[in-house]
Amino acid sequence: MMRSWILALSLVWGLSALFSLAGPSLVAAQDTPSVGEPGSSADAESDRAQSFRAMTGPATEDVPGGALLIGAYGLVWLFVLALVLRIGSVGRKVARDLTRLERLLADAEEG
Amino acid sequence: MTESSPPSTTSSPPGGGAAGFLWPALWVLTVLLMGISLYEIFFVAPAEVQMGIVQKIFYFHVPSAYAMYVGFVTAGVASGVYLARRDERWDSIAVAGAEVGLAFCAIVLTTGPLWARKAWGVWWAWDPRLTTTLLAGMIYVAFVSLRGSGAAGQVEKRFAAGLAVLGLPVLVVIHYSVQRWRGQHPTVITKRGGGLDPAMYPAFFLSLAAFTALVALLIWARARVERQRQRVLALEMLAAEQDLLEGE
Repeated sequence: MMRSWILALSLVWGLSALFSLAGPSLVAAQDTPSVGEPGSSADAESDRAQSFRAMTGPATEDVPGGALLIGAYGLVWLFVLALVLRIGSVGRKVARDLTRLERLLADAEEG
Repeated sequence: MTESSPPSTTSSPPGGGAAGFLWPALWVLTVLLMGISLYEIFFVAPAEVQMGIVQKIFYFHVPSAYAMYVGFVTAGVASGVYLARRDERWDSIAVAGAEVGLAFCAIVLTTGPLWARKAWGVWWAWDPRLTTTLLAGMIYVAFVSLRGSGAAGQVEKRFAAGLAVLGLPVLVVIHYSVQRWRGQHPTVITKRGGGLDPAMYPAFFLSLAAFTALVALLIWARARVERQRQRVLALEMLAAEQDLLEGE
């Protein structure tokens, strides 16, 4: 049990330290859109942060939004599937153990 | 420490007779709502004028964040009740809430960057809401790590329950971080925000309802398995007391 404690605490503090140290470097390394680029003006950012409006006419995009959307949708179901599989796996193991123990105790009672 | 409520010998869903009807009803409702909401998101809701089609990530991202709140609040509240009453039923609900909440937290923290790449031009920003969500996730990762082995003793259970309760204030901070501190994260569904286009509301609310049903279903299923695991541990102790496990 002590190992679980140490693992949990190490995980929290380790990740905190990692993000504290690496955070500013990561942010600096990421490419930010330059001022004047289409879609990066202060007005557009402010507008985008407070409302979503419907598009009229054909869509033209530089970053492939469709691929990002499908990726996000796939990730949702990947995580849900992983959770369902974990619940199923734990459930099957527990059901096996339950049957074995109940039989063991019933045999001991009879014998 | 003695247990105030030993696990039941049956494997029926929690809630007694009503659960026999509610469980399949919740299954059907979840599948139906998921199907309708996906149709609305992909075929009915319009693309956004500036972001285009990638804005539709919003319909998974926000309901996932809501489901994460439901999971973590369930874990925190159930842990608080467990600490007060030492009732194993609440412990099983806490474990279920934390695991399910963590899965949705992972969804939030991975779908968000996919949207941000298009909208902000970067995958990640140390925005108050993103950072506090990550912090909440780490707290509940610690909880799940402590409880993941399934054979946690009373001290570990109490320590983990304390962690889950301490995670609750972080959830409040996440919620108000956008309003209190300036950040990049959108504030569309708040008093400050300009709101959604009316044509986007059906997809959003349907998705919210679908994720609510999904998170309830998953917490219920996980709590049921955890309750059975508690039963196995109780029987193992009983068998060990009678020296029945030596030959195994």
